[in-house]
Amino acid sequence: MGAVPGTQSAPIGNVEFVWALARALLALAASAIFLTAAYLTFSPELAAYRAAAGSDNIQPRTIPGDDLTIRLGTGGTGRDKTLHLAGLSQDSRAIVTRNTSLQASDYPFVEYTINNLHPGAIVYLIWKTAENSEEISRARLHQSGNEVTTTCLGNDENWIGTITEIGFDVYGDLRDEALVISSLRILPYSPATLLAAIWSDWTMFEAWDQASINHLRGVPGNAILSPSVAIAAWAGLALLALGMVSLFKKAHNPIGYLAVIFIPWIVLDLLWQHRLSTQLTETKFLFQGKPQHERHLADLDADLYQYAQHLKSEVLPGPEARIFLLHDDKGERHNYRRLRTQFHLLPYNIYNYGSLPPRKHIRDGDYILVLGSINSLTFQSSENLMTWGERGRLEVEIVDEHPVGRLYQVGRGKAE
Amino acid sequence: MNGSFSALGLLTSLFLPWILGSIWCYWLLSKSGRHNLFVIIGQGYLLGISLTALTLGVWEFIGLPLWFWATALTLLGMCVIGFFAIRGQSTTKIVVAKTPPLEKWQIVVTTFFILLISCRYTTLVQEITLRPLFSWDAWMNWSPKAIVWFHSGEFTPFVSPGEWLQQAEDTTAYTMGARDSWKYPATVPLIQLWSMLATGTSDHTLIYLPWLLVILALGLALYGHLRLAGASMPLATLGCYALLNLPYINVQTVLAGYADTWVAATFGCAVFALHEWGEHRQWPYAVLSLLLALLCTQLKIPGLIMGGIIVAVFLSSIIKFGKTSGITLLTALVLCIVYIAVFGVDFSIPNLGRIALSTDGITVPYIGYYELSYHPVHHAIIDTTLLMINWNLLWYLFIFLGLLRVANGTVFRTPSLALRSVLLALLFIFFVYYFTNRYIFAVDYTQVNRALIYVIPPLVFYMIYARSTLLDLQHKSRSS
Repeated sequence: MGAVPGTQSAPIGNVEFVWALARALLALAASAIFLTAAYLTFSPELAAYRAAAGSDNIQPRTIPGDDLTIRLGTGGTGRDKTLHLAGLSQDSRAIVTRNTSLQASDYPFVEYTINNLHPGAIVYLIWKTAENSEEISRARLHQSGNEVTTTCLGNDENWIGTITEIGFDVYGDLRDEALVISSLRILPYSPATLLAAIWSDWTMFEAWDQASINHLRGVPGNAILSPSVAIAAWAGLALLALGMVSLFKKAHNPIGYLAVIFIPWIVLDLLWQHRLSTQLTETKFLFQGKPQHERHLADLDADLYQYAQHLKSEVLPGPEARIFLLHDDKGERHNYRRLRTQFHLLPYNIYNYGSLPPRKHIRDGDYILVLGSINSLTFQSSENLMTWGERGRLEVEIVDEHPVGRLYQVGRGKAE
Repeated sequence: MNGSFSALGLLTSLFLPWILGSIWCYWLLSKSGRHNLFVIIGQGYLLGISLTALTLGVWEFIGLPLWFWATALTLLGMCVIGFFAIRGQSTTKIVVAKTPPLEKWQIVVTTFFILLISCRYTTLVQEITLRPLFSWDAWMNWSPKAIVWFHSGEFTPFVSPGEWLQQAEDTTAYTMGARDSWKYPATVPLIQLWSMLATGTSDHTLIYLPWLLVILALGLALYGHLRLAGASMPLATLGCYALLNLPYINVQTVLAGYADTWVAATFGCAVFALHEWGEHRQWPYAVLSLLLALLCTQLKIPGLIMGGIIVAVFLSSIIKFGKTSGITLLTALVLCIVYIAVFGVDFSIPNLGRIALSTDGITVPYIGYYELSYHPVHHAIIDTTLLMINWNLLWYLFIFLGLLRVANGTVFRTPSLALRSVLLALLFIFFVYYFTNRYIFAVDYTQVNRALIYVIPPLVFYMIYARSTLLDLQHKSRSS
């Protein structure tokens, strides 16, 4: 076998590697300390929080879980001053609050400790102010990597004036496990609180949604600081420091350079892995151990899937039937329900555009599926007539009625 | 047609194309004397999948019913032919780089990166196998054709919504829920169809395992090509880690079903092969890159451009420009641009369509009409590349390497074929989002990452390969 000369240079020795790695770690540590100190000192947002605060000696307000009153939903107090929120109301909602009196500008942060929080339960922090006592303001609280989560309200436009009532509003599904609220703390500005809020932002979890395939923000929309920017700055400054030292000593080591780039890279990667692992826990909860049919029933669009299965197995003839799927998209650019229904109805042959029947192209025996309600379309059951607009008329027979949609079959002799 | 799930069918569908592609890839690349196992099986997967899709197409063309095991037998036959073709060809001496023995730290670092990759893909494989088809375009644009073909047992035509309304009573054609997706290339639905035929169902999470395999194959190809290009084992593994663990690569894998992963992998592998062609002038790599360019065009409409870029870069590598001819060509190009800007051009090519270029808009066959005007989308581009977590620190590193090239004066050197491909692809992507009405898909972040993903594999390859810019500083300082 021949050889390509000069393609592999002599490797760096083990000792040299360890020294290079140590220098890189030192550069990264110095970079982290310098950047954190600089950020805490010069950040304009933090200067604004400090300036807005009434005094330098504001004490945190702590509301133990058992101090919250259940306004909607069911539950009770538990050990260690906790509140166990065991059930939601009929409209899948629970509200727990407590009266208070504090100046929002003094308290730009909130820390909450909630156990058993999962993506099935959507939790908001809610509050009322003295200035606008009729209106309830709210901010979405995310599940983070820790039970104790800190969030910044200083940049929320409704977090102003005198807060008179505060608590949680919970929607969704508790999944047979009580939410255990240990405490709600309203906190003044401090560097430690700020860093805790940033960490909570970076470790927060949002389950997959339809935007996930397009982009990954990695943090909530109101996050204080992008992890990518912070970590790039960390790596960049360390690289600069290492470069300067190496230039001064006239000894460059590629391992050091690679380490100050890729150690921060790995840190960012581990944050992503944390999110993926949390997602996997959620995915397992929803789908593990279930056959495909039951997985669909556990999915977000279970109602559409069930409806499509009902039509396919109990109502429609073979897939040669032509279906006109009508839906009022109410101006939405992306129309999830009509498209998803079409998908679940495959392999049926579906025309899926518009909210009114394309009359001149409809044949006897075709089916019209009306998803949801369409105001401009009416069905007169006494005459078996579908009408719309001034002249739209079609003789149809209703074949199936369901909360999700109504299926008609075009009868013989189309009217006009 | 949904029957009981066939595990044997699934395994066959996953690995038979891989074996087939690897055999023929070996047959082709062994003539070059420059290859390794990773290049063979990495590139082989894409070759195998394209041969599988092609076989399904031919099967239908000659009017045979879509029966999995008969198709599999055909692929097996092609494997046997490939095996004998390899045995029959004269052996070419394999050129290998002289590698010094690994230091302990190199083994530790390599193992560490392999562990990080393994940990990530252990998570991803569980997610893929548990979650029913989720992502939007997957169920709106790509899987419906496969589902219909699977159930009907033939390639039922898909037509535009207008044609669907006009169709005669004795014909059966389908249309899609998104207006233009009926005309999307068939390769991705064929990949899904292959898995559906194998498993005996159109509704199963395991149908989408090829989305995992293609990324793993891309990683193997990247590793193999980096090793061929002289990267040490830890550095090549680092390259694989940097690519395979990127959040946006992961999300395209785990929420399987989009075509973009396939375009990215195919374009990436084509650029890797093109690089090898550029460096060592071994024609099998030129053939491989052109085959993959062809596959690019069959995956998605933007794949036409990505395939075109491969061809253009390949042509740039075989046409040698002297100073005079270079200046003449540049002048001609500038004059063409001026002519188009002032007068515009508008003509039709028979069987292809209309081509119209002016400062107001562009009409290109298969791709359509795009109005031209400037849209400042910097905010979205910066957000998606530098602020969000899509690409980890990749774009920061790319900018840094660019600045380094400026600083050390290498920026004016003729770029390598890999860099040419990356820059042309970026130029295309930025042109589309800055100057056409597709800018809205950058502003709302629905498409911009799905376009940027195409350049990521060659970008990672280039950055690791270009380590010499960064790392050779050491040797300079040592030698001084």
